[in-house]
Amino acid sequence: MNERLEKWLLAGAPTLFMLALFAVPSAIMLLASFRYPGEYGGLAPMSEGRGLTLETYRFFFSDFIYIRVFIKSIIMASLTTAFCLLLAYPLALLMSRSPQRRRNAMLLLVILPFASNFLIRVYAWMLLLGPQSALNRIVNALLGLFGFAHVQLLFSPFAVLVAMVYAHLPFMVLPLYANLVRHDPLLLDAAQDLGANSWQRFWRVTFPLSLPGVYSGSALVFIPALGMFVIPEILGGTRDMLIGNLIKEQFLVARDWPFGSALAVLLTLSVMLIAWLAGRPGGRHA
Amino acid sequence: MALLEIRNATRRFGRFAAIDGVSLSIEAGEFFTLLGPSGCGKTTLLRMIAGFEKLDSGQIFLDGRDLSGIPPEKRPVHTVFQSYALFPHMTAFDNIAFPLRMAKRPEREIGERVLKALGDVRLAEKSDAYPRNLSGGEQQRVALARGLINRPRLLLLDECLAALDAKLRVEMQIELIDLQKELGITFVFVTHAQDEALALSHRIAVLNRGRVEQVGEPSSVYGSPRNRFVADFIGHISQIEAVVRESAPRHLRLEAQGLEITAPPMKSAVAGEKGIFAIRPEQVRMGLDDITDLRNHYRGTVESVLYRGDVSLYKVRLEGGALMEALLPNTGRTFGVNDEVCVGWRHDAGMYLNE
Repeated sequence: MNERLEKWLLAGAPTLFMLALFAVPSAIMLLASFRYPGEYGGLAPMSEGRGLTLETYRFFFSDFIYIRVFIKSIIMASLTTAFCLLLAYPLALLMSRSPQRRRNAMLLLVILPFASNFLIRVYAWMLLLGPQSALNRIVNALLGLFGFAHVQLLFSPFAVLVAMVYAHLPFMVLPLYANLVRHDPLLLDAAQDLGANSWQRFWRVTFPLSLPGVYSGSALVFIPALGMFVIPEILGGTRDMLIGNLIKEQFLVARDWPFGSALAVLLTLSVMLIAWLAGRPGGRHA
Repeated sequence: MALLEIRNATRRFGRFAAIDGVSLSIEAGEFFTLLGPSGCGKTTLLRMIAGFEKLDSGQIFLDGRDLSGIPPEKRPVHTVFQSYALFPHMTAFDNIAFPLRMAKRPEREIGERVLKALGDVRLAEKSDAYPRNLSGGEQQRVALARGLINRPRLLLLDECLAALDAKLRVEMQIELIDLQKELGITFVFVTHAQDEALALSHRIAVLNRGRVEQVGEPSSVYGSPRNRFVADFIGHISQIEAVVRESAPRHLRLEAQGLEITAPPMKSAVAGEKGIFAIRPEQVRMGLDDITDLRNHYRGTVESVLYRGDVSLYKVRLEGGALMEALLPNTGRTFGVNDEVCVGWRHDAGMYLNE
């Protein structure tokens, strides 16, 4: 009895916190997406006989332009996840197989960028990719050599992808490293002893055992990447709008709260759908 | 030509020689055991044979082929590890199939061979079970089947029974002997448990500080240990400091702590030198009256009794102060602490050791 009370007291505070700051706003958002927009922005009052409506969702699906933004965002988030995985895996593997002291130093270096402001780091990419930057000049010099036209790196999907990968890389490295560092090195000896070369040792032993790390890292990158609006806003061109930008615009520019809410609900639903697809039996072998 | 020929193998870690000039030859079909205390280098030697540890000098030949420069995955040598090292993400079936898949055998053949191997180790029902759902003994048998499935020239077993409880261990020992006999694959077994080595092996190499102390059949390393280390490490033995009084071709006369002892002859013994007289407890007889039919018989007092059910181990303080152990079956007469007794042994029992 006493123990149960203790458990409730301990779990109570975080439960209340989650309820107040996650469940309630989600419910408000869900409700708002079924309401009518107000005449001067916001929501129309419920009292004037205008209750709930599916009009906003009908509007979303009536114009392919919005669905296209969703698809583009999913592709961008998928590419971000894929590149993060490709870059993070060798790094995490190297870290996990380094001596303890070097391991900690490398871990610190991975986390270090968090010590500076996110916006500043994104603006830094403006300088790195800008027309006067060394990178931009080298790329164009090379392209010129082969007779191609000049390109602009900044304000392009390329710039958005580079910065997205950069910003999310630690979220892939950390779970992968946490998984890989726990592997028993004896398993690799056993595999080698039984005839596996280094390629087979990786694909038959290390990689399948690291799948839980791959999944959690991918989720930690994919989900925030899907809703990201700061990076496309700063580094992307006018045509590189993603879901995050669209939602932000509905609330702050168009002041169409029901539509913004509907977009946010659909975003959450697509994340849940993708997570469910990945978690299905057969979709995962962990 | 022996199947495995180790010539003068040496491996140093800094100034410490883990393996120091070891030469051994192991015949095809043998159950060969490397026995020694922890830190004697037996696991290092095993890893050298498997290819995980390089040799600083010396050579290892398998079927007459020098193994140096051949990586572990290319050696027809498989290992059963102490902790089994089963792949946790694979079923028992896939674990056992692993070496065949690495050897790129056709899937149909793999299926047949693995199912047969599972049957051989009495795990036919556990084909789809993951290692975490298998008991220690079952994991052990999967590891064994995995090591044997691709019929290596040599199977290395690294203290692989150590983690099992006593009863299961005896069962597995019998199973190992049967399996080895049936398959005819050469086993090199590493252990620090001398009883296990004696029970399983055709031949034993006793290792100490990176060197081979003695190689021989179990009865010879137990019955005629070459030096004090082997005598002490294998089985129970009483040791008394002794001086050689007379070294004759057919016997040895020793003086040990006031006792006159007649011992089997030893060529290298010289009158006047100091050494050890050692005798196994089961060679010692004990009674209340003088045992006059034996050349060596002395009076003493029982100091302690260790009752083991079938036998008892007595510690007896002899008249000169020497301590002697006697192992007697409990079917005959038994003795208590402080009993005045007479102990004796045959003139050809025990041994004199000067190394």
